[in-house]
Order: sequence, then C-alpha cells, then structure tokens
Amino acid sequence: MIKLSLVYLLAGLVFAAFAVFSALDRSNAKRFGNAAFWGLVAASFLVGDRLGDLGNGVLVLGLGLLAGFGLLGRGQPLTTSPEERRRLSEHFGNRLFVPALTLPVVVALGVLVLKPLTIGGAPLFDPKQATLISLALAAVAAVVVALVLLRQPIVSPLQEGRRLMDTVGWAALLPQMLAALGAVFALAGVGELIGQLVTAWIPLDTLFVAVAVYCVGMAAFTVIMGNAFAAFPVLTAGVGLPILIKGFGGDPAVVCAIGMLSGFCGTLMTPLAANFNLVPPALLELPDRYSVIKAQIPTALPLLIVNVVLMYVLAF
Amino acid sequence: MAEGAVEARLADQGRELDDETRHAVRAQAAATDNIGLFFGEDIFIAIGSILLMVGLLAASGITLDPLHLSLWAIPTAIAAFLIHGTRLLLFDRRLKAARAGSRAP
Repeated sequence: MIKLSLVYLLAGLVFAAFAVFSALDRSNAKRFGNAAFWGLVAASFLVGDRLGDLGNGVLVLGLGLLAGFGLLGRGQPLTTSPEERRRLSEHFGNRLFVPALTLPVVVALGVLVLKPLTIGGAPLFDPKQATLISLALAAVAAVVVALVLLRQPIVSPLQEGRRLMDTVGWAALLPQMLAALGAVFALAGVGELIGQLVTAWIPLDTLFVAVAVYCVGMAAFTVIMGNAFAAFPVLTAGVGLPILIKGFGGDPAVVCAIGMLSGFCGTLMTPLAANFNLVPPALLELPDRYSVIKAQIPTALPLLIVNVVLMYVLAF
Repeated sequence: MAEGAVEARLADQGRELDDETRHAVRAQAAATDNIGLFFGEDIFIAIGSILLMVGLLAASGITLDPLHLSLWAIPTAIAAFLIHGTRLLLFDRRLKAARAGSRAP
C-alpha cells in the first residue's frame, strides 16, 4: 500500500535538492540563508514525525527567523536564456501546455480509477490520503511527460523549481503557517470563546441568522487575520461545527466549502492579504495602492450575500 | 493583455490611452485575476484549502471526501463568474461611453 509517508519523502527530497543547489550557487550572496531555509523545510518533511512537537516548533521558529531577518536571497539557477525560451516556445507551440494539463488528468484518474483498486486484498493507495497521493503521482507524471516531450536536461525541473521558490521566497510557506496558526488558535479555545461571544450577543436559534453569522464572521475574521486559512479553524470550531453542523444538522461538506469561500470574499477586501491585494498594484505601477481592493469590493460583497443564501438553501 | 486590447481599440480611432483609464484597466485585470483564482481553485480537489478543510473535519471526527467539498464550491464559482463578468461588461461599456463622449466637442 502506498502511504502518505512516500509523498513526504518525495517532497522532502525535492526541498533538499533546492537546499543543495542553493548552497552551491555562488551568484547568490545569501546562498547559505536559502540553503538553511529550504534545508529546514526538507527536514520537516523527511524527519518531522521523529522531531516531536517541540522540535518542529523550534524548526518553524528557525524558518521565521531566517525569513524575518531577510537572510533569503535570489539565486540564478543554470537554465535557459530568454532567447532560448522564445525559440523553444515557437518550436513547441501549444504542446507546451501538455505537461500542465497532465496534472489534473492524472489526479482525476488517481482519485476515480486507482483509489478503489486493491492488490492482493490490500488497497493500492491509503484510502484516507488518496487525493494527496494522486497529486504526488500526477506531479511525477507531469515531470516525466515534460522531460520526454521537451528534451531538457534531467536537472531542469529541480533548477526551475528552485527559481520559482526563490522568486516567491518565504511567502511560499505563508498558507501553511497561517493554517497552523488557526489550528493553534482553535486548540487554545479561541473558537469556543468566539462562539460564546457571538451567541451572547446574537440569538443563533434561527437557522438563517446562524448561517449569516458564520459566513459574515468568516469574511470579517479573514479581513482581520489577512487569510481565510487562519480564520477557518477558529470560526468553524466556534460556530460552524457546534451550531450549523451539530445543532441544525447541516451537511458538513456544504457548510465548510461555502464557509471557506465566504472567507475568500474577505480576502478580496483586506490590505493584510498583501500578496494578492498590495503587490499587484506595486508591480503594475498604479498610483493608488488600494486600487485593486477597490476594484474587488463590489464583487466581494454581493458574492458574500450569495454565499449566505447558497449555504442556507443547499446545506439544510 | 487587457491594456493592449483597449489600446488597440483606441488606436483604431486614432487616439491614445490616457493614464487614468490605463490604471483603471490594470486594477480591474489584477482584481479579475484574484477573483478567478480564489473561486476557481476550490473546484480542484488537491488544493490547499480543500485539504485544510478535510484535515480539520477529520480532527473533529467527520470524514469527508475532498471531491464533495470541491463539488459544493461550484455554485459559488458560477456566481462569482456571473457577478464579476457583469461588472466587467459594465466597465467596458463605461469605457466606450466615456470615449464616445470625449470625441464629441
């Protein structure tokens, strides 16, 4: 049986390769900062289950310190020049999209066809983790297709991956960190506290009010936290699970899916989601740094109302 | 791409794109990118937010198939497309109207 540990091993080895290539890249003045950062990420994937909670916590603090003190630079991986790329893209044309489209096709195949397969009585995939295993399988398949189709050196995927990670920088880990923060908040009981606060002020005994409080709460908390991933564990533990799912018997898939999307409406309205809302105006040289948020609010607000109605109609 | 399209349409009329319109088009393009990303990505089953939901519910003793979560993201994705698509059509119409107005002396 293929388990998640194999996926972790694969991801860990990819990050370890980023660390080694970073350390060898003399074009980057901060190369050892990059190597340490991606090395720590690799370590968390490869031996995280043996480090214990304290060890992993220290590891995350290490990542935070490296990023916070600006110890990450940008390397120059050995890769194709812009001219070579233009020539190759003219040569390959639309075939360039084949590897990218391989990924969703293989994921769908994995989940719909390979997941139910059994070999000698044991399932091929760990049934609980079939989605992630399919995604890893699809990533490997897409890389193989790209290598065969485009005839680039075998090290190219790793060098290009490192180029992408160096461009995004530490922000690549932001969603995971915020989700972890939300989980810590939920464990510390912030969710229950918010649930109590809300129920003390607003009577949640009518279904529509409860749905509206959860959806608008997700959006508002996302505006404050800057990311729906951090708001979701807190609001779901405080309002979604106890009141909507257990109290009113709502379908958990509908409540959670639409709850998260209500949070995304909040993401559209907050300057704290800098990578989405403040970086594009800077890159596009717009004089008003809030112009993208202003363009998004008239879509976000009606969509939030639509989400409330959709959850009310579909979940119960 | 959007900027180029507006510029080309103006060039057909022998006119240039003013800065105010250029910035408005850029802001709309970035906003459309975000909205498409946020409400489109949840339809894919192996995206971070879906996995976060599955993990959190599993910790609370509720087992969910990622496929169901992504299915229930489709109605909102359609709504987002309709709302933002309508707004973009209106925006385009406003650009055209402003142009027609400015052409008249």
